[in-house]
Amino acid sequence: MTELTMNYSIVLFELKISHEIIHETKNIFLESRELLNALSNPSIQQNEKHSVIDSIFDKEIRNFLKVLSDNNKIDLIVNIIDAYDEVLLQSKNILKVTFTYVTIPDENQINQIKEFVRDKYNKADVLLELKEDSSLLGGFILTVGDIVYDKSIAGTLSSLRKTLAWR
Amino acid sequence: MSSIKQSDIISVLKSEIENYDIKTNVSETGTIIQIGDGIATIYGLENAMYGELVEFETGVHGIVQNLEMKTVGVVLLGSDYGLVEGSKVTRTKKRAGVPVSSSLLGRVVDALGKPIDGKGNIEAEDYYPIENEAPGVVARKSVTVPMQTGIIAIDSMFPIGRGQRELIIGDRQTGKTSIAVDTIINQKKENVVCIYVAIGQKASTVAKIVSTLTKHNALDYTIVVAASASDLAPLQYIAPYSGTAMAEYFMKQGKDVLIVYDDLSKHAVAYRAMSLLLKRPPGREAYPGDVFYLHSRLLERSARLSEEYGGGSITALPIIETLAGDVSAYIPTNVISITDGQIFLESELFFAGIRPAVNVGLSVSRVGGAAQTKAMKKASGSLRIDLAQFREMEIFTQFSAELDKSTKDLLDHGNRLVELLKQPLSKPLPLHEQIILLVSANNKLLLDIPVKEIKKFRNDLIDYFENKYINIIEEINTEKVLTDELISQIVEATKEFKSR
Repeated sequence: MTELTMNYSIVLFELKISHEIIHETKNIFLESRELLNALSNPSIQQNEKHSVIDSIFDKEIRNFLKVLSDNNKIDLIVNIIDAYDEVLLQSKNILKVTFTYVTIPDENQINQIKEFVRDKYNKADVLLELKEDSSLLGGFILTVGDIVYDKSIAGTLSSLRKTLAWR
Repeated sequence: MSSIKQSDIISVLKSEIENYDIKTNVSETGTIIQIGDGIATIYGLENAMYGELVEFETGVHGIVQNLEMKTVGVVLLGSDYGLVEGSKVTRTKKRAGVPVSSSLLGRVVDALGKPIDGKGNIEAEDYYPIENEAPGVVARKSVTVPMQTGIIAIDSMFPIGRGQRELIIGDRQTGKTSIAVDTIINQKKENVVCIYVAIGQKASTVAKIVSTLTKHNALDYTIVVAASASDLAPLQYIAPYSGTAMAEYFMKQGKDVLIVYDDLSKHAVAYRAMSLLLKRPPGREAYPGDVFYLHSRLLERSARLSEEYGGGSITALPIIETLAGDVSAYIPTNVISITDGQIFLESELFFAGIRPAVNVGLSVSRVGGAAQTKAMKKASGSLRIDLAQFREMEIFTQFSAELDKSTKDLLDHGNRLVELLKQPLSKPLPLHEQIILLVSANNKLLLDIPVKEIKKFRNDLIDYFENKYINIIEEINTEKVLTDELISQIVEATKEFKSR
């Protein structure tokens, strides 16, 4: 995610477009590769692109997409909307974390994890993304932004290997 | 080795594993979003420091060089094999550094301090960051102790002191490296730790230097830090800093260190390659804006510490290669202005057979005079002026054949001085030999000896002194002062030798 996508995503957030429309836009682009190719094709005239945008998308988001296509940055749209989701969560003081497991945690455990993250990072709520990965052998990995809490057997083994083989 | 049993090893391993504290491994990671040409752009690593060491999935390390809003730019210190977009990168939370210890002496290591001479592991005593602050004003002391190069032309006219930074500059093939290597060889009895940093050189050249040092038993007190031409630009970039970190380790113990950077032009080129790949804006000759700071912060770490700070010193001999004798190019002018003087070598002199090919007019030592021994100062006397007058007169002789006696004497004297200053490779002269030769030359005792026979004459003269006047040699070496009485003794002895 570059600085450019960040800037566009902040603008998108500030436009106060309802996020159903934004997600619908993302889905359209994801489903139709041809549309993205056409809009990012430099040999197609600007006004033609504008009329395509006018005929497909909701009124609220049209201008934003037109500016993007005029600046030849329409190929970033999916990234921009992903970044927009983060900006949206940030504005609501919600933290998104990833939980990688071998055996799926029960409701109670999930609540404990959420509580831990909420207290530690002082957030209003926590959005937990669950991911299964059997290569961990056992235990779990909790990823909060840049910080990784590794309590998996695979991780412990690799750090044990480092300790034993140190120099 | 038979005393170690298999069961012992197993029990050690067992206890090691049993006592292994299983902790939650908390680490800060980022993801590669772009990688190529030894440069990786990492998304995340929000708290990474400038200059921090980071570790890639494959175990390869990198140094953080650019901090941007959402990404950091990292230079790789190893192969990028196996690293792809999406690979994880972990912070190590320490600055890039090298392991240091006295067992580094006699070894050849790479820019990260890892041995590359196949002589086994090096036990580290400490870990020094490669970038370190230079000693401040309070910690320093002025240069007073000489660093003898063993090269008569340099020790007499451009003396180098311990803690000085003397640039060796000249075209390719003018003997720059030879001067540095000879100086290292001459430190055998001087208790000086030597570090030779090879930057961007052919591996064969480095191997040759190592074998020269081994042949003269000079490797025992020398560390060779090699980042050869095939090494990555970032490794060539950090090599002189690593060498200096090792030098600082010895300086802090109160030892005198001599460090040779061979050469800083290639270092600047490596830094230019790295900077351009990091998308830093290019300036003059496409070098980045901080190329002056690159060398000034390196050479500023050479110092002589005052007694309260241990009294050690780092003497630096940076080497710069010029193109067609152009000292006004970008990097040469920069380094000339940073250092405390330069020894300028000329290919014209070199091919005329005057080796070392030191240009007396353009070379200078700004602080070394204070470090010269009193004896040498007196013996060298008017050498530089005599040579300058000789060069001036030499031009006139090309126009007229008729010469008066005083001009002829001046030319004869000059020719013999030039002959006297010639010196073969790897044959550093001790202080007393230099002084005896200079005294006899200054007292015009060489005038009646044909120029072609000077070489033989000086060897025989030294042999004669060593056999018959060992007391004079001892007095020079212990007192290091040249009294008028001693001069007359040397003159008498030389006359005696000539009249045999």
